[in-house]
Amino acid sequence: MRNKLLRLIQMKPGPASDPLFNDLALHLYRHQYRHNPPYRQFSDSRDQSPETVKEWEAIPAIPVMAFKHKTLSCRPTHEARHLFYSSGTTQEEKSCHPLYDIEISKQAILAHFKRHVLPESEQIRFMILTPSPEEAPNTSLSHMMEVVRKTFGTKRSAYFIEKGQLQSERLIKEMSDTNEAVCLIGTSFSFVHFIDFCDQKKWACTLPPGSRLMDTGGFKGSSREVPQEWIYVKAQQNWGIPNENCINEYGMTEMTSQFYDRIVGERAPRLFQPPSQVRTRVLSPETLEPVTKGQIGLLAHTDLANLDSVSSLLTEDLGREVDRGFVLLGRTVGSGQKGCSITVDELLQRNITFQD
Amino acid sequence: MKGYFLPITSITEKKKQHHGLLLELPVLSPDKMIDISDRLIRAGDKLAKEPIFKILDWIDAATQRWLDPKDPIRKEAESLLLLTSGASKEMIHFILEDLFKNLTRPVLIQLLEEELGDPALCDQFRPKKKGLGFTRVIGPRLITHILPGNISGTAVISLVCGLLAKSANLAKVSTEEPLLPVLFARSLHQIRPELAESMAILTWNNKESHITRAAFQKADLAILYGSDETIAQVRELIPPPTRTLFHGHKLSLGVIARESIQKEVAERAAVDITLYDQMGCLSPHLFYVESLGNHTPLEFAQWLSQALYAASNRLPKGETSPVIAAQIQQLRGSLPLRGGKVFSSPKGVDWTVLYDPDPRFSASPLSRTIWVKPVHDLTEIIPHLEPIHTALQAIGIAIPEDRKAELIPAISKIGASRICAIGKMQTPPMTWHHDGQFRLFNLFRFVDWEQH
Repeated sequence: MRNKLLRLIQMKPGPASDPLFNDLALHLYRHQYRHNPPYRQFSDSRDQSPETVKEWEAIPAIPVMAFKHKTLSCRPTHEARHLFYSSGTTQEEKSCHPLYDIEISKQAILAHFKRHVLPESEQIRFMILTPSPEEAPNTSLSHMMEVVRKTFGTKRSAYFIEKGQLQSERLIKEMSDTNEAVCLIGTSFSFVHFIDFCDQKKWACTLPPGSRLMDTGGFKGSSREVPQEWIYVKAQQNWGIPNENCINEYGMTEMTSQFYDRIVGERAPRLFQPPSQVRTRVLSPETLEPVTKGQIGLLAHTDLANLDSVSSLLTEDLGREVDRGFVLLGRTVGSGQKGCSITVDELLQRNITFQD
Repeated sequence: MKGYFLPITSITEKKKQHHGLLLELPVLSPDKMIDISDRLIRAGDKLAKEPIFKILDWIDAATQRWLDPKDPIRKEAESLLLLTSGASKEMIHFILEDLFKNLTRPVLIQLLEEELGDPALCDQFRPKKKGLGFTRVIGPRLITHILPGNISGTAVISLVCGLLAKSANLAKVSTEEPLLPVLFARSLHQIRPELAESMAILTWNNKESHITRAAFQKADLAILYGSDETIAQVRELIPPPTRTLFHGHKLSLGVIARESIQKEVAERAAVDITLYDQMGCLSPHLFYVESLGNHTPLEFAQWLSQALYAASNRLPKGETSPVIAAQIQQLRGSLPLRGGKVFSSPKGVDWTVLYDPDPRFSASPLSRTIWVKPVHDLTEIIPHLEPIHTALQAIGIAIPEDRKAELIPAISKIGASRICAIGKMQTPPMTWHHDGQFRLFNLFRFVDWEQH
């Protein structure tokens, strides 16, 4: 099964991968139902089991909140190579997602990253606006950055968050000095801080051609909410990175795979196209049935790279299906009170993504 | 139709589609706001010369029209609010009845007497009860209200209190739900134009802080409803000498003693959850239910689910925002994994009972979603309320008489402003000290006249 999954990961997303996806998804469901007791409990509560489920769409999608209550794992957690936690102030507010199969995770990260962020080259200099994995061993984002840096990074690639502090001066210096194209990569929140810092200093530069930017995550825990596009406008104005070289990534602690909203250099409208090992459905928030294409609903991802946890996930994110992918409209965490809740109009204006 | 009320001057309009209605909305500027304030103050000066009982008569005349289901004003309001509010027809009917039965002449006199002692203080100097000399009350010349954006009566009550203070009233209502206060002001205008001319109900974007700032410039009193974030932003825009009354978001809950675990109590609890679709500050998020009685907290949860089912037929729920529905789905799916039990409506997210053995306070996504948490003894809940004590509004209770002394002093101390029977949580008397404050008293300035 692992080999089939590795083969699927390398395939281009599209109908050709459908039968393989369906087989693997059902196979994984049997595996996870048998070896993951809390997931079995959940599945039973939805009156579903490997006997009743015949298509991947029928696999019960577990709410991501469940990762906060139980370790959803098919193996003893002491065997895990990494335990990833989401942000949150107390232990109970944090989701925990164990990673056992480093190779699957690595291939899943690299194949889709390569397609979107480095379609035309093999190496680039990363300037990473996250903590290093040594500083943040339990953060899935830092893990992903390290996988990407080790494979595609030139030797001067480096991290720019140390002890929780963005190293803005050092970043400015390295951006000023570089002769090679750069990939600025990090959380949206760090970019906002860095842009503010540059604006204050009235500092700007023109990065070498081929430079690009990938941001991820929204503005959780911050009163500052800026549209994603603002970052890209600033990246063009301040650092000379054209809009078509700016990419938004969407991922979450509970998933092993990621999504990107464009391919570097292409000017197509932004949308998230799932990698071949992932399928995304848009479900009615009220009934959890699929909505008509184009309608707003909850995103449910089936990520086969979640080999040893649960592959079928119901997120808290709203989105809508478009040709070849989906558009992300926002995260639904927060106050449920009327007057504070996000309206559809507001959602359409936001294009905020999150990764913990 | 006009999505604002401004009879004293004309203003440029912009049109906006609002839930299928084409609303005309005002185009405002700081200068225009100052001009409106000046005009309101002049209209308010005329109002201030009227005796309080005349003002009461005019408000009562409008109220009687709202209380008549056949009156065109009431009928128009019901059909418009059905379009814009997202609430069901039955709920709108309840909300309007409940609001306006509190705005009749006798109820408003009761309020004046409760808070001022003597309503005539609004008109003239009266001998002080103790000590020498005379006293009277004078309302602010202009009150600027930032009103909440839902169809609860809060906005209308705030305006009525402003009228009872004989003040001019400049109100900002939410762009999402401007209609109820606008329609109320229009009904007053039909009855007594001079009264209504001292009012302006406007709407503008929260981000237009230069307009908000101008709206406070001429006000003697500012009344702010809203989230902490809104209040924090808006208070910066109020000139330091302007008195301000804050009404932040609050939450409520219920407590049920082991002796009171009964089907009827569950039915009354379902009423508290159902009314206003649980969106009000008096709506319970959670019921603490004491264990070790003849019936268990789990049985209570089950009865509550049956009662919510029945209530949803009587008073259908309005629209549920996808954001809230998403949160409900997360809770429904994940709570059983930490030992809880979920009772869900047969269709959609109409109602949900979340039975959770963890006694720590949990906030509900609302929209008829209720936590039920068992406790061994009622006294255990006090520490659980500590983290939310500043947000506490009402605590509904079903406790035998002889045990009330155990709990009520402790609850009163921790932060609530209302302790009431379960089943009555959503229908407070007008004389309730909303947010623990006076409704009218705090609007006034007292003037003492010492004759010796």
